[in-house]
Order: sequence, then structure tokens, then C-alpha cells
Amino acid sequence: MTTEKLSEKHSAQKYFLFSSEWYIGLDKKVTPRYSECEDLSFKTHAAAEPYCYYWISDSEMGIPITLPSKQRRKYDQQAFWPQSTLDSLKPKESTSSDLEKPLLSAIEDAAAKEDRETFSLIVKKVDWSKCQPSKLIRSIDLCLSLDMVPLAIELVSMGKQIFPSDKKIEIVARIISPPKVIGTRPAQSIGIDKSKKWIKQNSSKYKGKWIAVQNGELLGGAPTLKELHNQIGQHKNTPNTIMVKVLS
Amino acid sequence: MGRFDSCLFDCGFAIGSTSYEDHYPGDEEQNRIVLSVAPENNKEATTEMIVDTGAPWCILHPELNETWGLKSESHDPGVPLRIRGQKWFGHLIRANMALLAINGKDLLIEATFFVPLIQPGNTWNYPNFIGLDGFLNRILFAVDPSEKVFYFGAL
Repeated sequence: MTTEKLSEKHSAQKYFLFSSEWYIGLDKKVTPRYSECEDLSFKTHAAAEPYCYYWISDSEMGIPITLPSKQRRKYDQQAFWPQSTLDSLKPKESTSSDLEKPLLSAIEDAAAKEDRETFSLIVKKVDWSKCQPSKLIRSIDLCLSLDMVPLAIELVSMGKQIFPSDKKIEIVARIISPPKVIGTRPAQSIGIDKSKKWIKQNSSKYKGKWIAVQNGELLGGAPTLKELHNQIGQHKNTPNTIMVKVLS
Repeated sequence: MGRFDSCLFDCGFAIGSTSYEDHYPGDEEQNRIVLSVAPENNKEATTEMIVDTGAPWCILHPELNETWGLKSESHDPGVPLRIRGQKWFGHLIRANMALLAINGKDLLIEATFFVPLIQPGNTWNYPNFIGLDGFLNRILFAVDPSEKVFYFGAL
């Protein structure tokens, strides 16, 4: 067994560490708010390392901070922490902002490390109804920055229910909601096929330029789209014209 | 046009089909599925976009975005996106597009586009993409590579 003091590792924050299963046991049995625990020690099997630590904040969150799930080990709760110690952990009243700080910090930390698994786990455990809408929006932004689009959509959907009158969430929801088929119309791409063929055969001569092709004929080429528009005229800017930048 | 037109139209899977190019203009090295897409308003020119199931969003050239008059909203998420290993920042916008058919019907879709922010003096030299979460995951599509035909329909 090894013993470490959490306060040495996370002196600025009131957290302490357990294995995931240990935390789950805690969560089910005592569910206190662990806010005064920075001077407590925790014990783990030295032989079990590397394993997944959880830190538990005064918001009752369990957050894996190091290793992927496959490396987690199952521990027997009683073997590591006596019930008397658990009982000694007194719950403390926390305000909404008290809860948000460590959570958002952990979310930011996971995002900075691009640790998607951890990020997803924390975000899903947060009770967003106790947070400000701005925190949720920040987490959605972080989701997007990690390319976790389905999770972002899930958060937005939840945000709409929790904060129905928040305009920012409404806008974000509209932007990232799943695409919608809004209708159909008869095909009208007359000449597009010919233009595609022309582009295939001739575009290499226009590398780095915007070109406009209509009905298989080149209308013009220019370094910018604006210049191309000026060159060909607005009346040629129709759906039957293909305008594309030829990659250089 | 496509040999599966009647079959896929009749069963309700597809409402339109189009031929596709297998290279994006100027990029002869990589095989792609390149489709024609236009703004739904039917007033602007068509452009070419690569089908990319690995891209979360559609990616639109910033000059096209400007020309098409698509505006980012004040609170829209400004997000980074990794494109070919490089991180770019841009805005997500919602816009109505038409996936153009040669046979059958065009499909009109409200989709999400990533529009990169480019520093003045710099140019954007990447293709336009049709991404998964922003576009493809709400439509039905099938590809016949032997004839280079792309079939599509509403989910």
C-alpha cells in the first residue's frame, strides 16, 4: 500500500482521489459533499498502478484524471477506506458558484489535454440546472473544439429544456442542431454535366484561380471570387454556372 | 441516367441522382466524390463540394460565404477545426443548400457550415466539404462507383 496526501498534489483545490469503483461506492452509500478533505490521505495499491484516479469535489463529482478505462482496476471499498473515515467527512453547504468552479476547471483541463473520454464523462455528470447558461455554452464550445459534435448536440438539447428563455443557447441550438431536409424541387442543373467535364479537362491550367464555367464553356477566371463576379457580370451568376476555386 | 434510378426512386430511398467527379479541381492526386451544391435561394452559382464523412461540418470557402451572403450570428460558436492536420478557427453558420440532381429532384437541406476566419492577405486553399454531422447524417445516400453516380434522398 502507498499513502499520499492529496493536498500536496492539489493544494489549491479541495479534492481527494479514489479509484473509480471506490468513488461509485461512496456515491451510493454516503453522497456527502467533500469540501474539507484536503488534508486527508488516500491509499491505493502500489501494485495496481497505473490505474484511474478519481477526484471528488465538493460538487460530488467523480472525475477520472489520468488513465483510460481499460486500465482501471476494481477495488474493494472497505480495503482502502474505513467507514469511520467516510463518516467523518462532514457535508458542507455549497453555493451554485462554488460548484461551478471546480467543474468548469476540470472540463477545461480535460479539453486542454484533448482527453475526450474524461471530458465526456465530466460533462455528462454535471447537473447543468445548477449552473449558469454561460457555463453550459462554454462546455458546448469545448465539445465543438474537440470535434465531439453528438455530445454538443446533446448538451444543447438539454440546455434548451433547462434554460428555455436563454437566447444564446437558442442560437447555438439552431446552429448546431442536426441538419434538416426542408424540401425538394425538380432538378434544374441544365448543363452542369458539361461544365463538370470542362473543369475536369481544363482546370489544371487555372491553379489558384476562381473559374466560372457555364454549359461547358469557360466564362472567366480570376484570383478572387469578387474579381470573377466583376469579370463575368451578375447575370451569369446563376445556378447553371459552376464557380469553384482551383486548388494550387 | 443512373442504372439504379428507377429502382431507388421507386422504393423511396432516393429522390435524385447526379454524376460525380472523382477529383476536386486542382487536386488530381486524391480520389474524391465531388458533388454540385448551390444555395437554396436559386440565385447564386453552383459550386463543388467533396463528400467527407470524416468531417463533422460542411466547410465553405470564406469568399463563397461572403458572396452567398451567409452571416454568422453574434453568439454563434467560434470553433477550431482541424483540417489536414492544421487547426483553423472559424464560425459555424446555418444555411439552406440544394444538393443538385441531374435526374429526379434536388434535395433542399438546412445544414451547418464551418467558415474559416482568414487573416487579411491570406488565402484559403482548401476544397469545400460536405460533412457528416452538418449535412450527411440526415440524408440517405448511395454511391455507384462503376458509373460515378451519387443517389440521395431524405431520411
